[in-house]
Amino acid sequence: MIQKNFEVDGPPDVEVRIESGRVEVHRAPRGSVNVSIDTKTPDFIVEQRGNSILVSSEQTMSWLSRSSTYVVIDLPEGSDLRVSVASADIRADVPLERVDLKTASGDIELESAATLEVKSASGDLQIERVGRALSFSSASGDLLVPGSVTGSVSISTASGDIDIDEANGNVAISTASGDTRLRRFTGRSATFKSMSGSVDIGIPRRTEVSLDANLLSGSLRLPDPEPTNEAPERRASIRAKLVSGDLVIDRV
Amino acid sequence: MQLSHAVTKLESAVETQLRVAGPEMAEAGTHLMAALKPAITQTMMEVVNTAVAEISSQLEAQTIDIKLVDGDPELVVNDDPTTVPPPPPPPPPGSDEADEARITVRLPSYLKDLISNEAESAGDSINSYVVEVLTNKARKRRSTGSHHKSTFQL
Repeated sequence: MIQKNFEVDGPPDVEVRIESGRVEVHRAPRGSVNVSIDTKTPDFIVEQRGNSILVSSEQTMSWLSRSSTYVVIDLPEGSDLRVSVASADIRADVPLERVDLKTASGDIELESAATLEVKSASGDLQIERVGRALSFSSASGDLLVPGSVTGSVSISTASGDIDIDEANGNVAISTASGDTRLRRFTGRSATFKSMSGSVDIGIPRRTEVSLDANLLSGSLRLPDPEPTNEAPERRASIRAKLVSGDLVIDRV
Repeated sequence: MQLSHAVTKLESAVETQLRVAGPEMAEAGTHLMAALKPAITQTMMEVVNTAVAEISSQLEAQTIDIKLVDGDPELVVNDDPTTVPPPPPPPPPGSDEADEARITVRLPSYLKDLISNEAESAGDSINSYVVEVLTNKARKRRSTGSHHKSTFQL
């Protein structure tokens, strides 16, 4: 067991590199970072350079001697976090600033981040809220955002369902298979490309929608028109290119 | 269409090449391929999508559906129920022209001469020739699927 405590004079930037196991991030008071590592790996780096802290197994590239590591980090709110793992679950219950995660397999569960970039081969991602930008690239795995993304959304997946409660910025989603559900879209532009998944978007009343959709074998379903004399409050451009999925636009 | 086999072959080829540089590089190659697999699969899917759209645009009365079976695309050719029926023959001179629309098209003079010559070669009037070309063009677009372009308020 390795345990180290660090003092920082601003938001820390923490990088974790392990092969397999689990990474947990919890809240710490401002100015302190606590690292606890349960590992059998003999050579483990835990070091501080200014406000940057590195937690790394030196055997990152070796797959022959892969051992499981359990890392617990206590961070102040607003910290930056970078994690690179081959196979590990990642959990964080503290609001973070910039989060960059690379994983071959493993589930990810986060509370919130200002910007989140995830590259994953397989594994689900769940995050309550994203403040500025969400980027998710995955071969297989679901994406769930029960809260909102206030900013841009960029998603590319081969398979897996996408479910976002609300997006306020520009949205670009590309999937090979897997359904996409964007329950409330209040941004200006949304683009969807899918091979076999359906796309379901909820758009608020009094939005003028400019639709450009190419559907090879799917169908388009729109809400029944409601007569209104009210001027639109906002405008949204929806572009979709779907091969065999349906495009559904709901009034919310 | 076994895309997963193609990806596996690519993985194998990369690993074989890197094995020459040592076991650590081979392991790094495995790691790299795992990270690149989504992008490779996505790119192959997009190639299949583009190919299907291109072939569909050349089919008169059929469409191609892509179904995913165990992660691999399977192409299915179906009769297109939305195929536009052949246009009715042009009404004889003097008949009711209520269904006809007139448009004015500006085009380069050389193109007008070309159309005139082509129509004469085909034994058609310029009007009949242009209507036939436009009809074929519109019918071909319909067979590629459906394109929805509109603006509306919710």
